[in-house]
Amino acid sequence: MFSADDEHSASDSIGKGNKPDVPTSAAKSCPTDTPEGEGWKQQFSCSGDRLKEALETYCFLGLEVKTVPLKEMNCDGCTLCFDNEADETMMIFTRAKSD
Amino acid sequence: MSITAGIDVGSTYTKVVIVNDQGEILARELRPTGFKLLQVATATLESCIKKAGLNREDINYIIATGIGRHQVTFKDVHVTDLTASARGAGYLFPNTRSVLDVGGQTMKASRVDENSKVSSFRMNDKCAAGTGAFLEKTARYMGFETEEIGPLLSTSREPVPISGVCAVFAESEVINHLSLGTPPADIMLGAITSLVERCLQLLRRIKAEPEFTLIGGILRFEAMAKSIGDQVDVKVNVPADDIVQFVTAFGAAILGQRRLKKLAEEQALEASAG
Repeated sequence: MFSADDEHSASDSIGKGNKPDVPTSAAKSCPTDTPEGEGWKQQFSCSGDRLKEALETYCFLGLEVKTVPLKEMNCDGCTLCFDNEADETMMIFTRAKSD
Repeated sequence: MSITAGIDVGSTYTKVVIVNDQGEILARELRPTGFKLLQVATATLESCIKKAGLNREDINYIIATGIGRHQVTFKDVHVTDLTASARGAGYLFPNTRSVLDVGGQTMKASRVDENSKVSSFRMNDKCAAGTGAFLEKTARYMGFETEEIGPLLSTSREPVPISGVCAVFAESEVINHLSLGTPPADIMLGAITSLVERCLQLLRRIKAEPEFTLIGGILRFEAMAKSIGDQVDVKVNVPADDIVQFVTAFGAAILGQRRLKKLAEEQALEASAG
């Protein structure tokens, strides 16, 4: 039904510790300007543990990840669900690693 | 015989599945997750062990998954729920190439390869409109509990349009329909139709390929799976009965069997080398 155009390989993501094995630095190290362009693809908005989970998964998929605070974006949609959330809601962007 | 358990600590329910080395389900159990994740994981596992007629010592390996997996201190390892879901869906339906998981708080679509490894995924935006919470809210506005949604849907004749844009605004839409005399069943079916449209959008975004396997608690409503099946022209698999809700925990248990086998092979190799 839908054609595929972006294959990425991933191994099973198995961890042993009790702390999230999440590259939280990925969320902070990315620039917050120009959300799309230069190969970045907008994924979805997320916060808290789910954000960590998503970043972890995209890293396992071998993708480069950056996040942008949703409030900084020109968001046309309704933000009622997360306006008063304790965790900042971020929009996730990914692109294939250029190496 | 090796026995493994998969524990899926989801945002709404915690599910446990115990399997043997033939991949047969010996028992399954679920409980509302609540806020005490370790306690509920422990209690659900103990109850499941009892159902299977086993003792705690009989469980050779435990894999935790789901958003609360890190709280399960007695696990052997943990995996992401995408990994576990892909494994479970692939075990039940080997030709699965796309998995749609609709849960209480999230909706996830993923593409998987022939080895049941995730190759791409996408989740719904942080908005209750795309999840089971939307259905629950709609039901609650009309005075129905979540478990009454299924029977209610079976009496519906024609869905009424629900914008599906926002769960917060859906309340006014529901009230408007009720004031016009629309049967609650038709409003509920309208909410399902709206949710299905979001499912299809998500599948398009990941460029889903057949066969599709549908999993998650919300897919236990037959109308939901049927509506998706009616709108795509590819093979759609839905695990039978309540298994649809346990696929992620099942996948974790199956991964446990795989890990045990690998560990045994490694030990045998070391023994032969020594």
